[in-house]
Amino acid sequence: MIIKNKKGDAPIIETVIFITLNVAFFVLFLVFIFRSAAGAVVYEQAYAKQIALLLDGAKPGMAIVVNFEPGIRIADKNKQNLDEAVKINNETNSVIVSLLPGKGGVSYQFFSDYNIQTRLDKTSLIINVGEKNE
Amino acid sequence: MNKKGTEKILSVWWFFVIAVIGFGIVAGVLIYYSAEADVREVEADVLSGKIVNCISEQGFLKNDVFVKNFDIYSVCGLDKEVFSSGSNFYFRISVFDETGKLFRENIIGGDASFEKDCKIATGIGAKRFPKCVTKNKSLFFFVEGEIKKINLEVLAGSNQITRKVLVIGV
Repeated sequence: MIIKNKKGDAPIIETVIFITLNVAFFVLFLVFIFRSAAGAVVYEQAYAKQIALLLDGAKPGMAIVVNFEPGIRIADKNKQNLDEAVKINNETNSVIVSLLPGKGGVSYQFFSDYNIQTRLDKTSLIINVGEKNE
Repeated sequence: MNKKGTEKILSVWWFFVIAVIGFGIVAGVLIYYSAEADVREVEADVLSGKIVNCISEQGFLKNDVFVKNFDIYSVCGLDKEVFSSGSNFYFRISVFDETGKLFRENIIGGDASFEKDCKIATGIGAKRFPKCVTKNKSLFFFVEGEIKKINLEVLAGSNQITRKVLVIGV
């Protein structure tokens, strides 16, 4: 005949649940911190401002190469269409960087009046600056 | 002693402490990573530098500056719309003679209130006020076959903050 020690089981189960919940809490915190630190929001803002400042100081005929490797990595990880990652609106003179699908992006305005074309080449973003009527 | 009851209270208290710590960490991380990278001063510096470079050439002020309908926007490759009312940018070009008198009327673009705001912000360090940069350059200028010395002063300001867009449409 098997005798179950019901009274003795209870503290072990409670301890296991307690430890599991604690570990889950700390894992959640760590995941949140690491995701925030390497997150798209930080890169979106950094790229939008970097590109806008480069365009502010640019002259027609220039080709600017920006290292976009971290941006591509984040966009790929989040399954964002790379064609949507960096957009230049020549009407409103703004750079829009979006590394998360369906969540919009960060927009930053530049004051140069040029015709801007962008394309991605492997890990680089190539920006061609042309005259407005070109 | 009611040991079981004490343990239960302790675990509830423990999770409360963890929740408070967690809230602190989440709030701290969100505040840190959502902070604005302030590039307004760099932007103002780029604008003033661009204007100085496009209206001067090899130490001489370009003669076009004194033409009646001088269009700074087309000469310097600046977008006129961006400098229209409610603009995030501002610039003022002043040309002084050797005695410090204005040589020609100031050329102004963008939100003119920035100049006052920048002066106020210099003393108190206001966060939401625009950032300005002034560039001075001594130049020469041909007038009636004579070479005159003039002082060029370009003040540029920016108060642009990051804008979050919900729909990507170009």
